[in-house]
Amino acid sequence: MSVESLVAQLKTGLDAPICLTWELTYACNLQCVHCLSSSGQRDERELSTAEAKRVLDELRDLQVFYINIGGGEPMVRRDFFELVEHSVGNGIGVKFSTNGAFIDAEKARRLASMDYLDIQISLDGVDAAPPADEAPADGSAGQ
Amino acid sequence: MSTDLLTRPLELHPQVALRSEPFGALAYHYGNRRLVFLKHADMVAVARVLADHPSLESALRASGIDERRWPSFEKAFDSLLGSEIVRER
Repeated sequence: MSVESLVAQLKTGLDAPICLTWELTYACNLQCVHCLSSSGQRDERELSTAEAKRVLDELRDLQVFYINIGGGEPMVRRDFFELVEHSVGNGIGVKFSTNGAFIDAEKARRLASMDYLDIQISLDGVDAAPPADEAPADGSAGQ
Repeated sequence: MSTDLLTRPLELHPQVALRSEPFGALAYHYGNRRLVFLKHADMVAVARVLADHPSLESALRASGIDERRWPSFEKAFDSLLGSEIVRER
C-alpha cells in the first residue's frame, strides 16, 4: 500500500482507539495550582468500582491496547489495585501518573510484579520543601 | 537483511496483540511497547499463520502469495523481526 492510500484510509479513523486517557478520580492529597485538571476534591459523579470495570470490559472488547490513568491522584481510590489488576488481567496495559505519596515498600513490590504497567511519578521540586504553587492538603513535604 | 529469512520458522511474539483495521492491522507489543502498522491485508494473513508453518516461505505459499511478491514480504517480515513483533521459533 502506498503512503498516500494509507493516509486516505486513516482519514476514516481506526476501528478503535489505540489508547485512552482516563482521569479515574479528581480526588488528590495535594492541591497544586499548576494541576491540569484542577484536582483536589473528589467528584461525586466519579465511576463506582463496578462501573469502572464495565468500562474496562468494553475497552477489552474493543482491543484497546493500553490506558493512561491519571487524576487526581489515582492511588487515592481504595479500588486502585483492583482496577489496575482487572485491566492488566484483561490484556489492557496501564500507564499511570501518580505523585507517589501512597507508594510504600509493599505497594512498590506489588506494582513491580505486574506486567504491562508503567508508572510516571511527578517531581515538582528539587528538595523536600513544597513548591510555592503546591499546597499539600495533609501538610506533607512537596513533590 | 537477515539471510535466508524465507527458510526460517517464525511466529508472532507471544506478547504481541494483532488488531484488525480497515487498512490491515495494528500490532502492539506489550513488552517493548512498540506499535506497528501492518499496512496490507495479505501481511496480516501471513502473520496470523506464521506459527503454523515450518518457514516463512511455507506460510507465504499457504496464504496464496504470488512468488514475485515474496521479496517484499521478506523485507517486511525482516523489519517486524527487528521490532520483535515476530520472532524466530
